[in-house]
Amino acid sequence: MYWVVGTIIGSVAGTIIKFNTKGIDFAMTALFVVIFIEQWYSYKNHIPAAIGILSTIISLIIFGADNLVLPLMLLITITLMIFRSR
Amino acid sequence: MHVNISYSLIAILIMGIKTFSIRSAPFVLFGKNKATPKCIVYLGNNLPPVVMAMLIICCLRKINLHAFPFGIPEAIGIITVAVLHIWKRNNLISILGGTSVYMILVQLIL
Repeated sequence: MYWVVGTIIGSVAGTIIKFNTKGIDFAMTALFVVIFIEQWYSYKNHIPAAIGILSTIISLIIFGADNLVLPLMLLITITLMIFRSR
Repeated sequence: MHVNISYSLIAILIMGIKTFSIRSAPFVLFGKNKATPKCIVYLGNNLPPVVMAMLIICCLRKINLHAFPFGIPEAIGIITVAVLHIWKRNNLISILGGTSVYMILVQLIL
């Protein structure tokens, strides 16, 4: 219920308030950074986070920004399986 | 472009069926009463940090490091978010502060 009410308030307020909203998509990136930092504090083992960062950067360099997701998923699964036994 | 109501309803129905099938697939495939395989338990415990790291970089994948802003507003924004969060541990302050810094940088300075 809160979700529905919040969405309605957001969409109505969005049409009423007019200011230059260029750059507001960064809120999503900021949210992910915050969640990542919270997870860094709560998980003792930092290797999965490091696997995520490295795999994504490698996939970005090799495959480019547009074809990123599928090879990235495969790479992450394989790397996690490899690091499972260590 | 005018979209029919029936078109939207059918699309929602198909998406609902697809989402339900995918979410119930692990229970169907791995048996209701057996314990989940250790592989899946390991993935379930360790995937969240991986996914968060992936999401951060996927949000930033479109920036061009060789063209004019060189990704500097994004870098300053992320450093602001990180510093604010490590200092205050408050989600709202970190997100609002970092986004405000980024918007100011993008709109006024660069």
